[in-house]
Amino acid sequence: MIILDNSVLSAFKHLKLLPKLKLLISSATISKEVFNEYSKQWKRRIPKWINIVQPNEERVLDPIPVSLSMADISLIRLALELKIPIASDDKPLRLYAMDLGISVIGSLALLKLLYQKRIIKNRKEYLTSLETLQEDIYLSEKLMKWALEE
Amino acid sequence: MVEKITVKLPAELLELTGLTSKSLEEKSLLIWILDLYAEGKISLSKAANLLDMKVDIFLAEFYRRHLKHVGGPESVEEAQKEFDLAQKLTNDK
Repeated sequence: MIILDNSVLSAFKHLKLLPKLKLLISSATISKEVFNEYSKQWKRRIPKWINIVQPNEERVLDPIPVSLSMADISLIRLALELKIPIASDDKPLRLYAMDLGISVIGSLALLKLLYQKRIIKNRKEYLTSLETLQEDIYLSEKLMKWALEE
Repeated sequence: MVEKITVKLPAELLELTGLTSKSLEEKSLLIWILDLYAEGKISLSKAANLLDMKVDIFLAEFYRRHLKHVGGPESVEEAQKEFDLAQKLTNDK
């Protein structure tokens, strides 16, 4: 089980790989806040393998960085409550989560795993996905080299 | 309610852009937020919230300008750690 934030959800939607992500992780969790703010279209189209869970609001998180939204904080609360990682590419969210001892996974690691498990079946498709991800996120040469290692 | 501040811009911008004061204000805010998001200083969700937009609409503006944002792992070691964790999670499922 993993929590998806808006950045990873958007990245995989942009990559057109959400159905393949499902094959990898089976199910994922988002909060109601993330669901509400993602898209007007989501209300008709949210995949069934993405569960909407509300965190316990009583947990006190202080100080909350101004760089984060209430939806981000709801995911932090969920991760602390369920003791599961957050998938995020957002630097402020990743740093705050890691400070609280929450494990974080980014789109690049998930993408590489999709290829290594041959859910992305061929290298050409993998390279196209990496290029598309690179259009969205700065990936250093070293990270690209790592991503291309078999 | 979000607290607001006032900023001053050259009046010539109205003529140069053909925008109304209101549209210029909205466009200035959009450019600022796109920049903050690209630099990794605010989350995607925060960026959309500050503009009172849905996330997909904000991203459409971001992609339209061919921008990239600072995010994800900062080193190969961090990426490998994330990969190992993802592998463990998917093996355990």
